[in-house]
Amino acid sequence: MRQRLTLETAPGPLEHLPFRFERWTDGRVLVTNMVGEHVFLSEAEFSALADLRIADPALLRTLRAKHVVRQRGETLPVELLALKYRTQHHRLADFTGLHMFVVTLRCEHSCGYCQVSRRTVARTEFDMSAETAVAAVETAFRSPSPHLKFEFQGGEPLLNMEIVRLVTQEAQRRNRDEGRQLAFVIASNLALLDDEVLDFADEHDVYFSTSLDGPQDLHNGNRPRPGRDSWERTIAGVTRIRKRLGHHRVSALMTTTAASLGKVRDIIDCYLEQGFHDIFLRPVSPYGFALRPRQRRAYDMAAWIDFYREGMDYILELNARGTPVVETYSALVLKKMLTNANPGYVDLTSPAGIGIAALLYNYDGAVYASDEGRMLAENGDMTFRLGDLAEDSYDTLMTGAALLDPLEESYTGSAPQCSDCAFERWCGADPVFHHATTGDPVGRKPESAFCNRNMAVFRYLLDRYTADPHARELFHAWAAR
Amino acid sequence: MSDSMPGRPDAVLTLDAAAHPADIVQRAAYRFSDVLTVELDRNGDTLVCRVYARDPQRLGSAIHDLRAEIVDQVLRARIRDETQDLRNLVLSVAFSRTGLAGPAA
Ligand code: SF4
Repeated sequence: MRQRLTLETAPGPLEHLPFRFERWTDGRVLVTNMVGEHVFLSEAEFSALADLRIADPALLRTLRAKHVVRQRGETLPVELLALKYRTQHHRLADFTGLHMFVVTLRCEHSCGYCQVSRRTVARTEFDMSAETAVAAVETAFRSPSPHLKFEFQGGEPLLNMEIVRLVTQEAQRRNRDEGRQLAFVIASNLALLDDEVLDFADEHDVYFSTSLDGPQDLHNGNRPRPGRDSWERTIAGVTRIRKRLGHHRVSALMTTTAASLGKVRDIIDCYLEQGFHDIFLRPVSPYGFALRPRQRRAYDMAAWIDFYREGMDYILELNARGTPVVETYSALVLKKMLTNANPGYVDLTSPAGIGIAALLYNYDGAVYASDEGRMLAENGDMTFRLGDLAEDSYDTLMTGAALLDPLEESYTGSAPQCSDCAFERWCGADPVFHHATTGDPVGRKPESAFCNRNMAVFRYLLDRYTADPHARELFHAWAAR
Repeated sequence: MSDSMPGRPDAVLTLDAAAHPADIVQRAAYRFSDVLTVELDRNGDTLVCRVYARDPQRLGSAIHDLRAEIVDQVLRARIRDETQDLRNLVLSVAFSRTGLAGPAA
C-alpha cells in the first residue's frame, strides 16, 4: 500500500518550490511551476516572490495554490506536484500508439511541398508488399499501448488499397484475442475515392483525413494534378464520405505555403463553407525551411507567425459572433497549458514523440522514428532509420541507439535554454527537425524555427487569455475537448 | 561561445566574478546567440565579457537585454539550487509506486 507522508503540525518558514519565469514586455512576469501551471505577477509581486517577502495575503494564497511556494515541511504540495507530474507522463508507459504505413510512394499529384519522394502511378515497385505489411502489423501489436491507430499514407494510399485492406483485416483478426482499441485512418487527397473504398471504410470503421489548403485557386495552385481539379475532387470526396458514412468521418489538414500568406481569412472561410469547424494553421513542413530554402514556397517563420496571429484573431472574432471554429494546434497547447492532460501530440512531447508516440513503416520494410525521419532518409541521411522489418523486432527497434540517443539528448528538461524556459512543460523536443537544420538533435533554440514558432504561439495564447474574458472562456472550452 | 573571436569586441562588460559565475553568463548569452556571441575571461575578482555582435545595428538593445538576462540568470540559478532537493523529491514520488520513504526535505 502507498505510504503516506507524515504531516508536520507547525508550519515552517516559507520556501520556494521549483519554478521558472519569463518576462513580458509590459512588465508582467510569467511564472510556471514544475507541472506547467502558470500565474502572471507584476514586477513588484515577482520581487516579493524572489525574496520570499510576501506581505500580501492574497498573493501568498495564489502562490501557494499554484505550488510556487510552500511552508517548509508541508507535504501536500509535493504530493500534488508528484501526482500531476506522473499523470502528465503516463503515456510514456503505454507507447507506441500511432503506426503509420507508407503503402505506396505512388501519387497522381505533384505537390511542390510534398515530403515524399513521389513516384508516378505506373511504378508499382514502390508499393508495400503483403509480407512487409503483415510484419508491420506484427510489430505494431508488440507495442504495449492499449490504443493502436493505423494510419495509411503515401504517396496516395488509395493506389494500393489491396495493402490497406490486408493491414486492416490482419489487425482486426489479431485483435480478436487482444481486445485493444483500434482506429484506422486513410490520409488521402480523395481524388480516387470510389464506392468500393467507401464500402470498405463503412465495413471496417475507417476514417479519412484529407488535405484542403483553402479556396479553389490556392489549393489547385499548391496541388497540381492532371486536369487541375484537385480541389473539386477533394470536395466531391468529402461530400461522398459525409453522405455515406457521416459528417465526422472525414477531417481536413491545411498546409501554409507562401501563396497562403495574407489569405488566412479566406482559408478559414473556405473551411467553414465546407463544413469543417476545426482548422490546423500548419506551417509548411519545417523541411521546407530546412532543406529546400530556395524553393518557391519557402517563407520564414516570422511570416507564419503573422499568419497565425491574424488567423487566430479572426477565429476568436468568429466565435464571439456565434460561429464555432477551433484552431487545432492552439487547442493542443491549451490542453497542456490549462489542464493536466497530455494530448500526446508528437510535436509537443518531451521526451520527443519519435518512436515513443509513433512508428513509420516504409513501403520497403524500413522502419523510421517519424515521417520526417523517412524524408531525411530519402535525401540520404539515415540517422532516424531504426531498422528493417525483415531483420528487427519491436524490441531491437525501440532500444537501438538511433532512437534512444536523440531522445535522451533532446529532452527539454535538460536541453540548453529549454531547461530554464517557463514554457517547457507545454513544449516539445523535435530532434529530427533540429538534426535536419543544425546537424544535432538539440539545436540552438534562439535560431530554431521550432522554438520561435512555439514561443510565439504560447505568448499569443497567454496574451489573449489574460486580456480578453471571451477568449479565456473559449480557451477553457478548447482545452477541455 | 568562447572560441577564438575575430577582431575587436563590439562591447565589453565587466562583472563581479563571485556574483556572476561564467556558467551563468554563458546561459544568458546563449539566449541571444542569434544576435551576439561572447568571450569570457576571468581576471582576478572580475569576469570580463567581450561581446561580438552578429548585427552591429542591434547591439544597443541586445547589450541592454543581455545585462537584464544575466541578472535573471543569477536568480534562476539561485532558485534552481535552492529547490534542487524538492525537485528530486517530487520526481521520486512521481515515479515511485510506493510513495515517499520519509518526510519531506
Ligand atoms: S523549444 Fe523554445 S519554447 Fe520550447 S521549451 Fe525550448 S526554449 Fe522553451
